[in-house]
Amino acid sequence: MPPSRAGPTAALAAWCTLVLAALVWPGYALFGARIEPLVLGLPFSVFWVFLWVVLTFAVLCLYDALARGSDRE
Amino acid sequence: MTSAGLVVAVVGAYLAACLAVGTLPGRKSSASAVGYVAGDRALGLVLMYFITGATIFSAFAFLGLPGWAYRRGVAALYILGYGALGFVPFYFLGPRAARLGRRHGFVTQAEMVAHRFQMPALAGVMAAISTLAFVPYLALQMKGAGLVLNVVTRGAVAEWLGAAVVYAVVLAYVWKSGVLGVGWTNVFQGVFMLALAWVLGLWLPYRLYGGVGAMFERIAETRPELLVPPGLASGGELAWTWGEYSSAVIVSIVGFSCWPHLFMKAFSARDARTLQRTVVLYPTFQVFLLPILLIGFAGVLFQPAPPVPDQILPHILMNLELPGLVVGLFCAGAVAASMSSGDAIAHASASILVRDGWVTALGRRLGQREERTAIRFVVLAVMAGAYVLAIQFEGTLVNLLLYAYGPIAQLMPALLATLYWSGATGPGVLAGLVGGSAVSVLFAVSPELRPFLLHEGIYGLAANVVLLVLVSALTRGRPDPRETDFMVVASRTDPLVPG
Repeated sequence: MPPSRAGPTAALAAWCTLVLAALVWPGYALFGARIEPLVLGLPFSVFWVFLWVVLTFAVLCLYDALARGSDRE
Repeated sequence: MTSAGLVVAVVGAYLAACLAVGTLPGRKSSASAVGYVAGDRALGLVLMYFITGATIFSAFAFLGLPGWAYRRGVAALYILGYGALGFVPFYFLGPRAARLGRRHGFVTQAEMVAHRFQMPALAGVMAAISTLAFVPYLALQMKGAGLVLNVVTRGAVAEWLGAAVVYAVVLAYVWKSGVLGVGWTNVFQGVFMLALAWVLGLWLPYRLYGGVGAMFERIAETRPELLVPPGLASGGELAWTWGEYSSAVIVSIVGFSCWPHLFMKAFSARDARTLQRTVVLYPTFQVFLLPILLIGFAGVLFQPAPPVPDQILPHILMNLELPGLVVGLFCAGAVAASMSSGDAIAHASASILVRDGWVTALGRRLGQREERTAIRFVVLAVMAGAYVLAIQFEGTLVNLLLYAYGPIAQLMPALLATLYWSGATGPGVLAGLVGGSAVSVLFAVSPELRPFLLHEGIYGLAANVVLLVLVSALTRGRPDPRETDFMVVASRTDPLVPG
């Protein structure tokens, strides 16, 4: 793997670890386990999971653009 | 008052459209197994997006998931949660597998694993695990389709009849068009499901409570335990544990990319970019689970309660005295969810039985056209078997499927070792697969034996990895030049050039 692609890939791995921690114990239990406040009409516990799905989509788009850029030689 | 006739007419029109969409593309692919199973490795982004997306949204998504939300509250969120990361490994595994597939002619993942280690028995074991998972899974899709038609016609269409008609259509387009039939119908079914889910998911809370926020405020007042993660355990009374919730998410993330009907689409994509874009776009399909969850929550305070939680959605619709057209459209949406998974499962399991079982493991060579013919007849046999299972065995089906889920996740260490670890050996992979599956099934059958309250797949994965590493270390010999060549192709870094 060329070094130009290793940076974004390491960052993606770090992001995935963060998302996993946020979606299960302990992140979800510590920060997402409450009903109030309602966001977009959703209880906070539901919004929390929805938020990480949407953020991961954005991060994947970004990673794809960066890694794709480094593949052009 | 709902008229059963109008419902049947709407579903009939939908099925006719599926048949037309599914049987037309047959002429476009070659008469070979590569054409029938992998679409001549030429599928573009639209087909790949809908195949991978719609395949995952099965009858369970439309019927089971609202049932979960209704009974167990936010425990159902684990499905939304694992989908965030579940497909990410495929961004890396997919292009590697595709490159090897082009070089060596693979159309299934087991062929690839067996070739790397020059061990045909591995393909046989993987084919057996996949088939054992697939047949009850397909039977459940058939039951789902039969059930929903039966409920919304107030019993006018018997379950066996509804399932038979729906799956006769599936058989017709899978037989005729192979993976292209699956793909183009999934585009149609996917759009249909997405539209219906959002309309129903936003409209039902509005109709019943005056809005999504108002609905959750009412639930927070009367049933707050449903909204506090990790939700309720399967009984619907006690709280679920964080260990079981978290380990269920982790096992599902590990297992997601391994589902054979999903992984083998690596061999169908036009190029590596298409595969990567499919992974990047996948969460947009995942978000569609949110309105489905809202439907389940809409049922929480709905009176009268349904006889079975899985019937919450058809139950609400039938009790709201909706026009037949609306009920018919919903019913077609649920049938679409069943078909879009059922077609891919039937197609994949027949391809796997013929390619991995008959050709690779047993070493029987077939001509290109013979192979396609064989796969077609096995599609018919698999669907007939699943249909009998759906009609005959009522209560135990869901349990069978639960037992099957653990072993599927056990394919991940085998795939990672095949594509990334040059130190792995065939006996190591085999030991890991068999040991991991055995441990997983043991704890699924006897959950009280688990040392900690974690998903049985976690124990299976631990045993799998330990056995894979240990046995590989013990059996490692001189590297085979074919294996070295395999690893060189796998690790090539230019995803833009097809290998």
